[in-house]
Amino acid sequence: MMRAVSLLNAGLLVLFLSAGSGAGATVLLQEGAATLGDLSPIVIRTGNGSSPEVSLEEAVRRHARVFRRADDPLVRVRTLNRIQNLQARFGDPLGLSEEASEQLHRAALEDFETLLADAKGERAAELLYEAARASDIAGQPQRSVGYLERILERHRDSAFMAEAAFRTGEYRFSEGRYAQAAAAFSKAREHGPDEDFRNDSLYMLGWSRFLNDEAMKAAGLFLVFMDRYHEPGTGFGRVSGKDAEQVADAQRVLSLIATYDRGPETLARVLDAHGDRPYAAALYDHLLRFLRERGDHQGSVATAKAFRDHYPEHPSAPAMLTEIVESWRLAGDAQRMRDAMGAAVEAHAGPEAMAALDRPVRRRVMGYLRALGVWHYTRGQALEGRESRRHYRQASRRLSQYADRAGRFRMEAGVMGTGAGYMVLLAGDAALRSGRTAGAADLYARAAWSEPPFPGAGEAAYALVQLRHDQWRKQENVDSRNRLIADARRFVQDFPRHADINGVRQTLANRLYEAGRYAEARGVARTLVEADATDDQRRAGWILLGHLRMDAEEYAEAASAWAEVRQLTPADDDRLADFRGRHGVAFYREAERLADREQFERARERFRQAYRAAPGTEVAASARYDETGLVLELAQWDEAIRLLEAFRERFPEHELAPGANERIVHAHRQAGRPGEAADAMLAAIPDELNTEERWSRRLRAAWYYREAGRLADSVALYERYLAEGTDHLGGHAFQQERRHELARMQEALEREEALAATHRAIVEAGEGAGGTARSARLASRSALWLGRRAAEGFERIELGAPLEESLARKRDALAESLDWFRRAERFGIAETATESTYRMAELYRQLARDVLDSERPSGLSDLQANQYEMLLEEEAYPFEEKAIELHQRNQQRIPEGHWTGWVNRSLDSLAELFPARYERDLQWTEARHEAAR
Amino acid sequence: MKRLAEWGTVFIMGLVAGCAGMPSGPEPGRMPDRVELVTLALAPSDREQLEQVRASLAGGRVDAAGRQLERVEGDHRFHPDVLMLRAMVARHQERPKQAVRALEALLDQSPEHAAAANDLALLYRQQGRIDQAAALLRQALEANPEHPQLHYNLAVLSELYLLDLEQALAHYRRYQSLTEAEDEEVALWIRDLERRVE
Repeated sequence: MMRAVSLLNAGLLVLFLSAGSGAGATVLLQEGAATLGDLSPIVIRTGNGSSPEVSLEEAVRRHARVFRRADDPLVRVRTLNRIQNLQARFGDPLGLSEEASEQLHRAALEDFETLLADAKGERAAELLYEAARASDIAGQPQRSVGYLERILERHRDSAFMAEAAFRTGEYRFSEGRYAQAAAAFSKAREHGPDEDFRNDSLYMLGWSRFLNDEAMKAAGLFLVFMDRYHEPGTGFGRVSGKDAEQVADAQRVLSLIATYDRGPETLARVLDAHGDRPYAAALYDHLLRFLRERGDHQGSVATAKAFRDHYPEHPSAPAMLTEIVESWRLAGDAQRMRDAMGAAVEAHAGPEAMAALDRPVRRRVMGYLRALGVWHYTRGQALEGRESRRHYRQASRRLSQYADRAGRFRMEAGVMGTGAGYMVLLAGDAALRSGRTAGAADLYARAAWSEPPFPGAGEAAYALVQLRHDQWRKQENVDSRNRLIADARRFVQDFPRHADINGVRQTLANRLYEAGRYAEARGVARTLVEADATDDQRRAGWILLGHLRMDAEEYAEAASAWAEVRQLTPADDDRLADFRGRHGVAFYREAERLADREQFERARERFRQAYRAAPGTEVAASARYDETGLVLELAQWDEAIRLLEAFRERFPEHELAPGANERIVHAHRQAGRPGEAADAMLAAIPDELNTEERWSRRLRAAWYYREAGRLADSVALYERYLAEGTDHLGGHAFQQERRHELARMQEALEREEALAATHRAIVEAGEGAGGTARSARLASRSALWLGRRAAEGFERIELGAPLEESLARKRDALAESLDWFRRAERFGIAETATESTYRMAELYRQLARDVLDSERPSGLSDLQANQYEMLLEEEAYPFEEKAIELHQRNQQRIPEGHWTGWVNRSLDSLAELFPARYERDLQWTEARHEAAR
Repeated sequence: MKRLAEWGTVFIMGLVAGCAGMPSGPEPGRMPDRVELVTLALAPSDREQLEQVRASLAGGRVDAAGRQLERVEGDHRFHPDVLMLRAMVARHQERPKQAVRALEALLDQSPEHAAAANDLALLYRQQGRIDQAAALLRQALEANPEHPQLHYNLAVLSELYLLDLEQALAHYRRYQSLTEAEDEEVALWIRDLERRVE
């Protein structure tokens, strides 16, 4: 490098540099200078002036002419200097070709020799320097180096010493003579006029040492070189241009030194030897990149690790971890890359550790979290069983960490282009697949509602609802259901446009219904049926509305809902029958409600609708049956009978069929047709009835026949019952009542013998069992009836001669009658007992009278007649006594409290039979006596 | 119910405050429940009318007696004489329940009314209420021990219905002692009873 610029001292002409020369300057040539001594220093002015304009090229050409024409070595050298100065000043050959320049300088070499011969001191050093420069331009480098070395040897204190040393070093360096070059650069560094010069020398010295196999020295020199450029805080950041290149070169040399030796270990040794540097991280960084560029990824990784070992707390230590990841990535070693990522996130994924990182490093660590999470997730998908779950757990953990950090470091997350929400969603999915449902639920909820909104939030919410649904299906308890309800409710509220919104609405509505939150369930179901949902979903909504309305007793509305359900149900769907039934039930309930409000016609219409809605079903049967009930309420007996008969025909095996028969019977009775009622009842006694029930029905029919006046039909049923049915229906008292009723009908039919048989049966039954007072009364009355009947026979027998014979018959009749009366008496019923006693007494009394009034034999003499009369009286007397005795028995019942008309009549008879003792007239107050009172 | 002094006005006073008023008249011979009775003095014309009733009864003109009695009953339905006559008319008309009600009302007012007690006892006998009849006669005899008719009827009841021959004998005897002329028929009964008791 030619740095010397001498002053130009002389000029003959003042040259004006035209604007067209490209330089806005003017060269003033001193016109009229005769000698070099007259030349004033060249002046270059800027701005306006009045001097003649001359181009720079012209000036150089004129100087070249001066050089060639001049003989004086000094003039020639100075003219050459001026040319050099102009060229150096404007950085352009200025029209002087290289060849011409080379010729000029070659021509000047003799001039320098001439001048050197007399020069001394600093002037000699200056001439040597210019000669070296001219030699160089003249293409004679060895000669040039010769001049320079003469400066080094003879002019150590010269101002040109440093320049000469540097130029010498350059020559030797270019020759590969690094030791000499180093020596020259060392002198140049030593004598350099300023810091820049010394630094340049140092730089070249370092190179020279390095190339001279003095690595450790070279390393130390480069460290010193870099020290100059390194600044606290900015490092080498403010170094630019050539300096930056040199600093980079220095680092590269250090990397080379380390690479040629033991890599990072060597670098560490350099720093140990020459002292640590604040930019050690840059050196390590350069080294690892250098190695990486050379394909030595392991070396690169070792360098990063070495740095972290030496400087674990260094701010750049985290970045080294990321460089390890990058090296393994470039090496194609995915496993090691992930291990490195794992190490990085283990070291720095904590919230505070992450915050302490430089932003680029932080971004990379977050990227690792995400990448590891995704990788584990994919592995979970690819594997099965425990390994799969393990990867999913890791995926969930890493993605959660990523999401956590992304929430805090949104800028970094934003740069990566993937929002935290997706990662949280994926983390939730991984947690779920790893079996951590609680964690999954939290993550889904967070993705859906806690992270900034993102397109996948709805999917997260939906995943949460699905998870809650699965939990509920598994646990089936209140807590799980309430959680499902809460999250499904949030989902339908916040993500109404989600593709599966209606499926969730369906689930939500059903769970709300199960939880008894009917109003809410109704709202959701209503939304569902009005939504653009599938037929199945809308049907589910209508089904729920059907249930809800039924529960709320809104039967008409429920019927509408079930109608919708049916419309949405394919004909081959197995559930269609059930839906029809429910449709029918809704109509049925509405009909019941209307009937309760006595809106019978409307109720009938609803029953008909129920019948049509669910044909052939239980509901239809009930509806039709209850419709008949309404018709009966309306007293439309014939219409009711018509419907009931139709019902019986349509549903012959239905459990209500017997009830229909009963209603037919009832309708006939209400219509005033008890006979038809009985016919209907007998015609439709179900086979499945037990014997007791069958007999009960027959007796009811008998009762209806009796009401209808069809006594013969009634009697037939009674007689059949008493002959065949008493073992199956009723106890003693019941059967006695039936016999009593039978007797009354037989009496009405004037069936004398049958009636007597019935009375006998009543008596025998009454005597055979301890019945009630009522049954005893009935039995005693029957006995009384039989006694009276026998007494009538007794009375019809006339006593005549021969008396013994007729009396014997009369006595037999008496005996029979007395027997019945005694049996009647034994039942202990006051009314019948006193009557029996009275009648027995009167029978004896009658017998006595009959004896006394009996036909007298003819042809008796007076004596015989008197004797016969006495005989009759004797015959009659015991009977009369017996009569008195029996009437007295009734009299004796009075103090016991048994007073009946028959007792009174006995007293009357006693008064007739024994007036002296029993005929007493009580004394009433007479009106006249009363007035006199 | 005690008998109040004769007043100059006719009203029925409800025992319960605030219930005063003039209700429609009760059935003849039947006492209204829980009502104090105020009887009025009979006017001479009323007395005359009652005498006509008695005459009709004595003459066997029962229906006429009933019509005559109704003329007095308007204002005097609870007068003892009216009630007694009402019972007699009813008995002859074979309306024993009405007769019983009238006599019971009369005895409510006049528990010692011998004729009323006598006839009511005989009505009870007709209804088979033998013990009540005997008790009524005994009660009446306490207030009217010299009333022969009461002794007679009690003797019959004791003999025929209560089969208490000793009581019968005692009352027959008492009856004989109270009557001016001894009843021969009763004397025979006494002798028969004496034998039977012995």
